[in-house]
Amino acid sequence: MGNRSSLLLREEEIAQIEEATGFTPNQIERLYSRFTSLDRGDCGTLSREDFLRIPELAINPLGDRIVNAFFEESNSDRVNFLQFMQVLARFRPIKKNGMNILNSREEKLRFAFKMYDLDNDDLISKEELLAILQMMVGANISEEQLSSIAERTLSEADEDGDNMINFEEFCKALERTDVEQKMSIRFLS
Amino acid sequence: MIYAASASEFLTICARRSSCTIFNANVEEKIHSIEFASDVYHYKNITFFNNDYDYETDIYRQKNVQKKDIILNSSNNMKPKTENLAEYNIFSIEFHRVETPFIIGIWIFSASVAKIGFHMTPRLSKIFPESCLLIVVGVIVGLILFKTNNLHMSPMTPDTFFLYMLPPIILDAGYFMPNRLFFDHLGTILLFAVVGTIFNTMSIGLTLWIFGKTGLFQCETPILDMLLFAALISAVDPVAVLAVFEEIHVNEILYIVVFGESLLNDAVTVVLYHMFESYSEMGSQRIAYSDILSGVLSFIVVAIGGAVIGIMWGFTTSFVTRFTYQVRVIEPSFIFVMAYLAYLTAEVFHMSGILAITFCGITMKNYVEANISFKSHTTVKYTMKMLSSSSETIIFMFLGVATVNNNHNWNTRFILMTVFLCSIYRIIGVIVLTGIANQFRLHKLNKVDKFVMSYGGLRGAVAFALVLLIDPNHVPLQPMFVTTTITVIYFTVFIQGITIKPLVKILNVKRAEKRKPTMNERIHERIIDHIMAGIEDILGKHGNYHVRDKFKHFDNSYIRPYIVRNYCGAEPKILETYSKLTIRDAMDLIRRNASNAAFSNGIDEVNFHRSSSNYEKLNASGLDTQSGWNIDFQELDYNPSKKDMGEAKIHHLLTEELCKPHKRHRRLSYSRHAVDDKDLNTQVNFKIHMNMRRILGEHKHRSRRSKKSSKEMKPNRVSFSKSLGTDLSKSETMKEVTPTATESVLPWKREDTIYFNKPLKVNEFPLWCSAKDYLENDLLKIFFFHNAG
Repeated sequence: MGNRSSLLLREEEIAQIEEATGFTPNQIERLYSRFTSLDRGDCGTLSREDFLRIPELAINPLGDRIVNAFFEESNSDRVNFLQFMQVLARFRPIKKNGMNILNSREEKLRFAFKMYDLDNDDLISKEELLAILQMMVGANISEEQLSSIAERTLSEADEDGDNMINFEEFCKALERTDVEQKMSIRFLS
Repeated sequence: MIYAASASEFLTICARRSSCTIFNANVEEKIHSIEFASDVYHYKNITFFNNDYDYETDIYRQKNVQKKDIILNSSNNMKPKTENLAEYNIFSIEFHRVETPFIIGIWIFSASVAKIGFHMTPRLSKIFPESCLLIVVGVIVGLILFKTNNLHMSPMTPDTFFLYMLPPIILDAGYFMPNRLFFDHLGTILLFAVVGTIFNTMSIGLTLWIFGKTGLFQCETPILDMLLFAALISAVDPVAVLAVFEEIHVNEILYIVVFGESLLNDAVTVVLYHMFESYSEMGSQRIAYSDILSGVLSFIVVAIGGAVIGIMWGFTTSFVTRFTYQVRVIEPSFIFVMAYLAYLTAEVFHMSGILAITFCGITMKNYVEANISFKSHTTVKYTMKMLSSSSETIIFMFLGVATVNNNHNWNTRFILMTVFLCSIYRIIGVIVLTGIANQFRLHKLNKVDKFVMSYGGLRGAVAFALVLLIDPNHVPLQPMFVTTTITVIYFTVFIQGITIKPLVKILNVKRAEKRKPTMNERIHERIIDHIMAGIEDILGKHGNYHVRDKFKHFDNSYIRPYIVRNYCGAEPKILETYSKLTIRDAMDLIRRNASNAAFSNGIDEVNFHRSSSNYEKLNASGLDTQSGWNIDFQELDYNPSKKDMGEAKIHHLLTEELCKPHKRHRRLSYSRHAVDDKDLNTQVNFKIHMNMRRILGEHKHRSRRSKKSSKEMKPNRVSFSKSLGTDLSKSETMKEVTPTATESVLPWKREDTIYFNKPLKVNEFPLWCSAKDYLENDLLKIFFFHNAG
């Protein structure tokens, strides 16, 4: 597999991706081999089905939303490798004196925020929050209870009184959380 | 108990009792009765009471010996006093019977008093960690005992330490272990606990042996004895680490790494210790390679076995608590007893008891908390803290006491060498191992972390108990080891323990921040976890998040439904946070100053209920509504003639009615096995009452103030009076005849009734007091909603 991937990936492509995402060439090749192994159709792009074929992702309550995040920027129903890498780049750990592209605290938070934002209006409404909660908690809790939790959460974060959470309020709510740490993955190199 | 005047009488009384006391029996009678009693009636315990002496005899066990005793003892006391038959001793001293528990009690008491003492002197407790001060007190007590030659009972034997004093501390540590943090850093912890400890043992032991070879210590230093000593001295001690780290509040990652290491290295220490002990008993010539191999294997067995035993007991405990909802009061005892049993079970099989009880605590915590009642939870929490802190106190004190004895063998070079080697190898080990660990860690351990980790490698009571366990017959150097161990412990606890606090400050180590998660943080962090797990899945990487997600899924679908009684969904933590926050909000709102905007709304609402319901009442009672009842406080004119209504009376009434304690629904019969949950509410209700009363009090003042300047009404009041609607609009025009609020509420207290032809019949309590009105109030709804749910 490793052979094939390095064959398919040309030098300038690697350089381009490195420029755009900050991954090292080694990491890029490694991830490319993962990309190709996900790509069942061998067409150089991934479809939603390719993602959802991962068994663990299927049981992840947010699986759909995460997959969706990959497609948001492409505007089509397929993701190419560069787009794939651009999404993953958000989860690179922040280095003090290295290339930090796409992986700032804000970008990480933005990704989390997008999970809630079902209708892409840059605001989290009560319905959206409720929907996400339902995905996570499952059916064992009554609707009423969940909606009071959602209300409570909204009112806690809401500062301008519009009963929505905008991105600033979202960042404010998480300002004590070590997002840089929590939303980083050690990519093997 | 039977009191019989003589043996023959006793023989006639014979009943199915387990013990009896016989007065003034002669020897033959005694022996006869003993035999008779034991053979025929299987009595266990017979006391002969001869006024000159008394003793108890346990016939079951030592019949023959006791017979001899009887003859010997009584031959000295052959002064039969037949006349004192009726004279029963009102007062007698029998100390030896209660001696052991009594002394234990005195120990706990004095140690706890000493602890109080430290915290009363803020200057002392600022400089010294508690453990140091306790050791000092222990030494003082030891000196007193030593001078008075009272040291007949060695206070700390390895058995008491390992069986009674250590388990509570470890259970406390395991039960309150931050699970997530622990498992996130498990790799690093294991690296330090296993590799680090082995490295320390080997290097210290071998270096000591090499120096011994050169004749530096002026004594024979066989390699196995050196390794045995190194095994016990190289382990970081959980008790000492806890005692010091709880006070310095370093950030949680640092804490969990050092503390986790100290917990998990127990398995390694136990194995190495037993291995070298049996090797040195066997003699170095007879050790085959197979023995070394089996030593390695036994490490795996001891560690894994201990953990597995603990986890099994943990699940069993959780499962049992599923069924305790009928007998809530025994819930805490299950948790304690079963955890202790886990420890003992592991010890039976020579597994690591510390690991067992730690994992038992870690496992049961989540499930048990979902099963037991809130009260039991509090009980468990407090009892655990109480037990662990008292045994910690005693351990340090005993360490001090045990220092003072005659058997010291002070070898300066050996001691200095050991202290030096312990510190130097700890530092080397930490530097090397963090280098390895950082390769795999997202959060790199920096220089300051390394320093705190190596400096926090405190040795403590576990080492001391282990060194006492060494058999001096096999290891002739044992007294020297004991002295050295004590010195090393003193060095780490005193010098490192005292200096670590200022050093942490100077080096600006990231401190721990105590915070309670907000709803947003709780939910968003869970979302982040899911995201990370998802991304790891996409990457095909089996990292922490992936494993945790898998475990959570397994837990939620296969474990929780069977173990947790009221299984409620996948995210218990979110619900937990929600209910905690709701309670806090409700309490906050009630506690908050009435000037707060949110609250003044609340008051208005209360007031509204009160006024409108009164209004309706009055209507219903057939009063002339045209007479213009103004029930609203704030619209009233100040009426000096009514001022002498008597503040005291109002106050009295308010006190009586508002602070009336919650009605207790006592059961008719006293039940030992259940606690009525309704009793719980008393305090809370009292609080509400107090607050309502205070609010009213403030309100009264405010309204009086407003009466003085009735022209300039605040906007919210205007809006409020509007909100009362048109019903009151008529009354507003007739202010001259309006009685004061107190009068409207408490009409029967009024002296002049000129406005009324017939006495008022109003509900005795202000209506808003009734629960219905409370519940209509938004403020309190949240509170009651919670209480009910």
